[in-house]
Amino acid sequence: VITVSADAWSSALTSFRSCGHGRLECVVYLVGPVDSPETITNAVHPVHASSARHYEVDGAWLTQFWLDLRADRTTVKTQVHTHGGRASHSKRDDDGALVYRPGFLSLVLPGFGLDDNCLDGAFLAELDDEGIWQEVALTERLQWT
Amino acid sequence: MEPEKSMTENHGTREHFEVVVTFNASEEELGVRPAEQVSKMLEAVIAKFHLTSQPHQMGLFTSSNIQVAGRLPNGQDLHQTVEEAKIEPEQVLVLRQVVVSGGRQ
Repeated sequence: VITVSADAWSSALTSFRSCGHGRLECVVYLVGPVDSPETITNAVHPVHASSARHYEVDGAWLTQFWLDLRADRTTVKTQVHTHGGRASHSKRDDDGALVYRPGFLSLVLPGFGLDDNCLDGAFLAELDDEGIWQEVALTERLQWT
Repeated sequence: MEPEKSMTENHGTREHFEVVVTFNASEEELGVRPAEQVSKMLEAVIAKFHLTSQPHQMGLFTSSNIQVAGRLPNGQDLHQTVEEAKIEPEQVLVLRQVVVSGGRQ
């Protein structure tokens, strides 16, 4: 189980609200030290385009992000993005994720992440060994401090 | 008399050399040949990182974000050799999804 720090989660929610304004999708990457695989210490908000029904991360930003992670010995452990309505893992989510390595987690929040209790309706998907996203229970993979 | 330089010592005519590829803070060294197609290089590095899905959507990029291997956002595949891509010994390349997106639609 990966532990998400309170600061990282607070930062993620702040990004969803300040960037999405309750009407646009938004995405953040939860990162932590390479040497501490079960710890998330920060939320990184990428440069991205968005609408009420999609987001797309800027490619140049992503290249630099990968170089920064290498330099910092920090790795993305979970991607989190919002949907306007209920949370699910759409075909677009399946095809456009950041990382395709078995065990990678993708968390989707409902209602643009506005509600403080948005984890109640969240959808967590995990990439399996066959490269297929499978729904998993939140409490089996993530916990919050 | 100065010893003659071997093929592998001469930068311009190397038979093979190493590059470093980084992916989500992991990194792998990859041996490449100047005449090798970048598509083969991409396949090799995807296998090294044990990426099991979406290989056709991956690309290799320089630190200046110039794509040197993989499928371009317009759907065209890059067909060029390592030499044509101007990939240099010990160069650090980024392996990433060409397009990262999501959403309800």
